[in-house]
Amino acid sequence: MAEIVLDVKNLKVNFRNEGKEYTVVNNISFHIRKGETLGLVGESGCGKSITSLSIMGLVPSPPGRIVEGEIRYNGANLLALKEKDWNKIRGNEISMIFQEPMTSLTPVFTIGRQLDEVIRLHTNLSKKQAKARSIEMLKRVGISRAEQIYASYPHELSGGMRQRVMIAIGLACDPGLLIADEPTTALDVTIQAQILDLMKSLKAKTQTAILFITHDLGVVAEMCDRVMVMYAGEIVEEADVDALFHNPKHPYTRGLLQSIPKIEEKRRRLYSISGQVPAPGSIARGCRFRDRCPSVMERCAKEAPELFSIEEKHACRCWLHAE
Amino acid sequence: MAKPLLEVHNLKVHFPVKSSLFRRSRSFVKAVDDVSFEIFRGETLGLVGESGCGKSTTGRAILHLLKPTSGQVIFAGADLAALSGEELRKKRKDLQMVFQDPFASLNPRLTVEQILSEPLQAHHVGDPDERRQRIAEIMEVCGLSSSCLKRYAHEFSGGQRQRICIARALILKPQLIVADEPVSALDVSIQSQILNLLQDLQEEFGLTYLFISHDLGVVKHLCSRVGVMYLGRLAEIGSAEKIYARPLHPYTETLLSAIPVCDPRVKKERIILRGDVPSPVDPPQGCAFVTRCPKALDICRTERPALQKAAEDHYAACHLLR
Repeated sequence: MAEIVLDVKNLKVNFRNEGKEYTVVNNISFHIRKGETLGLVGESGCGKSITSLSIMGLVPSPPGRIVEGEIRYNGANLLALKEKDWNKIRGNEISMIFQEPMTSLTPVFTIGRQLDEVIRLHTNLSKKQAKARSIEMLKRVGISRAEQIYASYPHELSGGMRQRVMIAIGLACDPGLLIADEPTTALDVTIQAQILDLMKSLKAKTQTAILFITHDLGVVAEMCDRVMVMYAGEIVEEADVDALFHNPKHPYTRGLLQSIPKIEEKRRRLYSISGQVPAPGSIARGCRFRDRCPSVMERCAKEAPELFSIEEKHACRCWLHAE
Repeated sequence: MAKPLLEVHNLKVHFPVKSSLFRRSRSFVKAVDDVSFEIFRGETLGLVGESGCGKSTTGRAILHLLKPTSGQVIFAGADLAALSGEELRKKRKDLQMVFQDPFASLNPRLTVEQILSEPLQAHHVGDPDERRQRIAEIMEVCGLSSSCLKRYAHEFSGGQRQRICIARALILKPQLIVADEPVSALDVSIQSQILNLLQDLQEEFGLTYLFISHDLGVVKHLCSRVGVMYLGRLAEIGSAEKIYARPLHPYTETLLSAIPVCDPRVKKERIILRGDVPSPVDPPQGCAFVTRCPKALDICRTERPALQKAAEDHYAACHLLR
């Protein structure tokens, strides 16, 4: 099996708001191997973006604080790094593509300058060599008029093109890990298809490990090898992509899969998970999903379930699957 | 067949592009360019397309929230453009809208009670007691508890806010609701709650919907008929079943093939389009889709295809049909 690139252990992140501390990410552990794409799914506010920001060392502090846990990249504990050392990791070893290609590029500099900046910061290339590398990167992400785009400003490009540029910046230094935070959410379906296609072919070439964060289960089915489902700051299920879609165990995962209207079948009514996600801090004991769970039991209110292992590589945080 | 509730004939909405301060503008963004369709009572027509294709503008022009450049909107037999301001205001009782962003479309300074009573006051419906009664009824129908009345919009989650928006649209007992991406801003589990609510309300009140969305799965679930828009024009329109089973326009075909399937075992043959949507200021001559169409012919570059009938309740604007 390929080596482990990223290993997260018992990560816990708190946020302070109006004098109280809330746990936003609670005790999550996972790893990603070389060449693997791990999906992280969940609804808004479940902690998926905070998880990715923790890996990048970008949790705003204050109000955020990593309370405990370990994040190891190729064996080295990232949480022990000084700010200066972080700069060698960020954008170089671990890079990130954000959801909003409109706001994650600086409007006042050309695309070329923004690409060059990343490359020159992390390598010893000269100005000229950096430019050549930038243009090569733009070509690699499927931009045909690379020289022309190199000299353009972000506002001159469409959303799909900007996201390609973001991917080019993300991959410019051949990172070991790429975090893609909802990279296609802001795009139209036909453009999304282009970008997913591009990411797949790049992945096959570079063997970069990808943490793919999304709320779209269709995109997960297409892109990922393994999936984690998050709910209210916890991982509730983890499985290979095939097992997750064909043999989901957690009532939340099942509910999510059934709530999506599908093109292939016609149902009169959609299944819906009643209620809504609990506010952070509102559940002190027991399972966080119990108020919305169709198979809730007495035990769920008293004790919080742990992540039980069901089969090899399939785990589920639910009392239904305890042994 | 019965007479349609809403008829749209050759609707055009063009926005001038400012060229300079003193010159009159010569170029126009053709946001909606010659669109015609009808909606029958009690049905749901879905309008799909990518961003910038003119689907929201069409929705707004139907309500005359935007003045159409030309074309007719006939609602229940009355031409909306021919009505005076006062008459149009009265007519709007029957035509209501639900917007995409439940965070931006509710006034943060008003309580839920004030939000819901505003339309009643504007249209002089009932006395205060009757209004209160009606608000209580509509809240219950939309799944909001009566304890919400004195609270402000920011205290609610996205799903509940969208319920408030729907309640506000319903309180005047309209006949047609134009829903502009009502579930796009919501999470999957909340989205299905709102879709079910829309379906229940339709059954209970015999509502007619124009459902604008970019999500083809949602549209398939909710709509009996579908119109596919591209660059301000209708590419294809007809029964949802027929369009999803056998799309006739190459654009519809691409759109359907581009949706990711929720099943890792399905390996879909995907049509990947090259390039982006052209600017609506200067659309291609001939067919709007010609620059990206994998099947383009010579005639597509010169002649704009008209919407033509391919089967019962199935029309497409494509030269390949001939």
